[in-house]
Amino acid sequence: MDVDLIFKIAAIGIIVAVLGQILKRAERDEQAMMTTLAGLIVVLMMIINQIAELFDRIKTLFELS
Amino acid sequence: MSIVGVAVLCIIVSLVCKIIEPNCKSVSMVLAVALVGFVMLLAISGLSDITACISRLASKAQIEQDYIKIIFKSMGICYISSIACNCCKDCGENAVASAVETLAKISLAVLALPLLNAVISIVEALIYE
Repeated sequence: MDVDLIFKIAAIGIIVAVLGQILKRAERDEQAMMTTLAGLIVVLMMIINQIAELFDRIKTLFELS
Repeated sequence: MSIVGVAVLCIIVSLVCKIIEPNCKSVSMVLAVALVGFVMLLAISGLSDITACISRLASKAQIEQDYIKIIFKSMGICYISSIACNCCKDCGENAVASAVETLAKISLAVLALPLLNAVISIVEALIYE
Protein backbone atom coordinates (compact mmCIF):
# COMPACT_ATOMS: atom_id res chain seq x y z
CA MET A 1 0.00 0.00 0.00
CA ASP A 2 1.66 3.23 -1.04
CA VAL A 3 1.00 6.87 -1.68
CA ASP A 4 0.89 6.82 -5.45
CA LEU A 5 -2.38 4.86 -5.39
CA ILE A 6 -3.94 7.93 -3.73
CA PHE A 7 -2.40 10.21 -6.36
CA LYS A 8 -3.60 7.91 -9.17
CA ILE A 9 -7.15 8.07 -7.86
CA ALA A 10 -6.94 11.87 -7.50
CA ALA A 11 -5.66 12.14 -11.08
CA ILE A 12 -8.49 9.93 -12.37
CA GLY A 13 -10.98 12.08 -10.46
CA ILE A 14 -9.66 15.30 -11.96
CA ILE A 15 -9.61 13.85 -15.49
CA VAL A 16 -13.16 12.52 -15.17
CA ALA A 17 -14.34 15.86 -13.81
CA VAL A 18 -12.77 17.81 -16.68
CA LEU A 19 -14.03 15.34 -19.28
CA GLY A 20 -17.52 15.48 -17.82
CA GLN A 21 -17.51 19.25 -17.97
CA ILE A 22 -16.30 19.29 -21.59
CA LEU A 23 -18.86 16.70 -22.69
CA LYS A 24 -21.66 18.62 -20.92
CA ARG A 25 -20.67 21.82 -22.77
CA ALA A 26 -20.83 19.83 -26.04
CA GLU A 27 -24.41 18.73 -25.14
CA ARG A 28 -23.34 15.04 -24.83
CA ASP A 29 -24.68 14.39 -21.38
CA GLU A 30 -24.89 10.61 -21.93
CA GLN A 31 -21.17 10.36 -22.67
CA ALA A 32 -20.44 12.58 -19.67
CA MET A 33 -22.43 10.27 -17.42
CA MET A 34 -20.76 7.21 -18.97
CA THR A 35 -17.31 8.73 -18.42
CA THR A 36 -18.08 9.45 -14.78
CA LEU A 37 -19.40 5.92 -14.34
CA ALA A 38 -16.30 4.40 -15.97
CA GLY A 39 -13.98 6.49 -13.80
CA LEU A 40 -15.91 5.47 -10.71
CA ILE A 41 -15.66 1.76 -11.54
CA VAL A 42 -11.92 1.99 -12.21
CA VAL A 43 -11.34 3.77 -8.90
CA LEU A 44 -13.52 1.29 -6.99
CA MET A 45 -11.59 -1.64 -8.43
CA MET A 46 -8.35 -0.01 -7.32
CA ILE A 47 -9.29 0.54 -3.70
CA ILE A 48 -11.16 -2.73 -3.07
CA ASN A 49 -7.90 -4.61 -2.42
CA GLN A 50 -6.58 -1.84 -0.19
CA ILE A 51 -9.65 -1.77 2.07
CA ALA A 52 -9.69 -5.59 2.21
CA GLU A 53 -6.02 -5.59 3.23
CA LEU A 54 -6.71 -2.99 5.94
CA PHE A 55 -9.53 -4.99 7.52
CA ASP A 56 -7.55 -8.26 7.22
CA ARG A 57 -4.64 -6.68 9.04
CA ILE A 58 -6.89 -5.41 11.83
CA LYS A 59 -8.52 -8.84 12.07
CA THR A 60 -5.25 -10.69 12.37
CA LEU A 61 -3.72 -8.13 14.73
CA PHE A 62 -6.55 -8.34 17.26
CA GLU A 63 -7.33 -12.07 16.67
CA LEU A 64 -10.89 -11.02 15.86
CA SER A 65 -12.42 -13.84 13.88
CA MET B 1 5.88 8.23 6.25
CA SER B 2 6.06 10.87 8.98
CA ILE B 3 3.08 12.57 10.51
CA VAL B 4 3.98 15.77 8.66
CA GLY B 5 3.85 14.00 5.30
CA VAL B 6 0.52 12.40 6.11
CA ALA B 7 -0.92 15.72 7.30
CA VAL B 8 0.12 17.52 4.12
CA LEU B 9 -1.18 14.63 2.01
CA CYS B 10 -4.55 14.71 3.78
CA ILE B 11 -4.94 18.47 3.24
CA ILE B 12 -4.06 18.24 -0.45
CA VAL B 13 -6.27 15.24 -1.16
CA SER B 14 -9.23 16.72 0.70
CA LEU B 15 -8.82 19.88 -1.38
CA VAL B 16 -8.82 17.74 -4.53
CA CYS B 17 -11.98 16.05 -3.21
CA LYS B 18 -13.67 19.45 -2.90
CA ILE B 19 -12.46 20.48 -6.38
CA ILE B 20 -13.84 17.45 -8.19
CA GLU B 21 -17.01 17.25 -6.04
CA PRO B 22 -19.39 19.35 -8.23
CA ASN B 23 -18.62 17.36 -11.39
CA CYS B 24 -18.34 13.81 -10.08
CA LYS B 25 -19.29 13.51 -6.41
CA SER B 26 -18.95 9.72 -6.42
CA VAL B 27 -15.25 9.66 -7.32
CA SER B 28 -14.47 12.24 -4.63
CA MET B 29 -16.22 10.10 -2.02
CA VAL B 30 -14.25 7.03 -3.11
CA LEU B 31 -11.06 9.09 -2.99
CA ALA B 32 -11.85 10.05 0.61
CA VAL B 33 -12.42 6.42 1.55
CA ALA B 34 -9.14 5.43 -0.11
CA LEU B 35 -7.27 8.08 1.85
CA VAL B 36 -8.84 6.91 5.11
CA GLY B 37 -7.78 3.36 4.31
CA PHE B 38 -4.24 4.43 3.56
CA VAL B 39 -3.82 6.48 6.75
CA MET B 40 -5.34 3.71 8.88
CA LEU B 41 -2.93 1.20 7.33
CA LEU B 42 -0.08 3.44 8.46
CA ALA B 43 -1.59 3.67 11.94
CA ILE B 44 -2.15 -0.08 12.23
CA SER B 45 1.46 -0.87 11.30
CA GLY B 46 2.63 0.81 14.52
CA LEU B 47 0.09 -1.03 16.64
CA SER B 48 1.51 -4.55 16.51
CA ASP B 49 4.41 -3.89 18.87
CA ILE B 50 2.07 -2.10 21.30
CA THR B 51 -0.13 -5.19 21.55
CA ALA B 52 2.96 -7.41 21.96
CA CYS B 53 4.20 -5.23 24.83
CA ILE B 54 0.79 -5.19 26.54
CA SER B 55 0.42 -8.97 26.37
CA ARG B 56 3.98 -9.42 27.71
CA LEU B 57 3.24 -7.09 30.67
CA ALA B 58 -0.03 -8.91 31.30
CA SER B 59 1.66 -12.31 31.39
CA LYS B 60 4.27 -10.90 33.84
CA ALA B 61 1.47 -9.62 36.08
CA GLN B 62 -0.13 -13.12 35.96
CA ILE B 63 -3.33 -11.68 34.43
CA GLU B 64 -5.29 -14.40 32.64
CA GLN B 65 -4.68 -14.46 28.89
CA ASP B 66 -8.34 -14.56 27.86
CA TYR B 67 -9.09 -11.27 29.63
CA ILE B 68 -6.37 -9.63 27.54
CA LYS B 69 -7.78 -11.31 24.43
CA ILE B 70 -11.19 -9.85 25.18
CA ILE B 71 -9.65 -6.38 25.52
CA PHE B 72 -7.80 -6.73 22.20
CA LYS B 73 -10.94 -8.00 20.46
CA SER B 74 -12.97 -5.06 21.71
CA MET B 75 -10.25 -2.67 20.53
CA GLY B 76 -10.39 -4.28 17.08
CA ILE B 77 -14.16 -4.01 16.97
CA CYS B 78 -13.97 -0.35 17.98
CA TYR B 79 -11.40 0.47 15.27
CA ILE B 80 -13.26 -1.31 12.47
CA SER B 81 -16.68 0.04 13.41
CA SER B 82 -15.44 3.62 13.81
CA ILE B 83 -13.77 3.52 10.37
CA ALA B 84 -16.90 2.10 8.75
CA CYS B 85 -19.26 4.41 10.63
CA ASN B 86 -17.35 7.58 9.77
CA CYS B 87 -16.95 6.56 6.12
CA CYS B 88 -20.69 5.97 5.88
CA LYS B 89 -21.40 9.35 7.50
CA ASP B 90 -18.97 10.96 5.07
CA CYS B 91 -20.92 9.54 2.14
CA GLY B 92 -24.13 10.92 3.67
CA GLU B 93 -25.61 7.58 4.76
CA ASN B 94 -26.41 8.30 8.42
CA ALA B 95 -28.81 5.36 8.73
CA VAL B 96 -26.14 2.90 7.64
CA ALA B 97 -23.65 4.52 10.02
CA SER B 98 -25.98 4.15 13.00
CA ALA B 99 -26.66 0.52 12.01
CA VAL B 100 -22.94 -0.24 12.08
CA GLU B 101 -22.62 1.56 15.41
CA THR B 102 -25.48 -0.45 16.94
CA LEU B 103 -23.95 -3.71 15.73
CA ALA B 104 -20.60 -2.70 17.24
CA LYS B 105 -22.18 -1.90 20.62
CA ILE B 106 -24.08 -5.18 20.71
CA SER B 107 -21.04 -7.26 19.75
CA LEU B 108 -18.98 -5.46 22.42
CA ALA B 109 -21.64 -6.24 25.03
CA VAL B 110 -21.70 -9.88 23.98
CA LEU B 111 -17.91 -9.93 24.17
CA ALA B 112 -17.93 -8.59 27.74
CA LEU B 113 -20.46 -11.14 29.08
CA PRO B 114 -17.88 -13.65 30.40
CA LEU B 115 -16.15 -10.86 32.30
CA LEU B 116 -19.43 -9.91 33.91
CA ASN B 117 -20.12 -13.53 34.85
CA ALA B 118 -16.66 -13.83 36.40
CA VAL B 119 -17.20 -10.73 38.55
CA ILE B 120 -20.65 -11.86 39.67
CA SER B 121 -19.43 -15.32 40.59
CA ILE B 122 -16.62 -13.81 42.69
CA VAL B 123 -19.08 -11.51 44.48
CA GLU B 124 -21.45 -14.44 45.12
CA ALA B 125 -18.60 -16.47 46.55
CA LEU B 126 -17.75 -13.62 48.92
CA ILE B 127 -21.34 -13.09 50.05
CA TYR B 128 -22.35 -16.70 50.60
CA GLU B 129 -19.19 -17.79 52.44
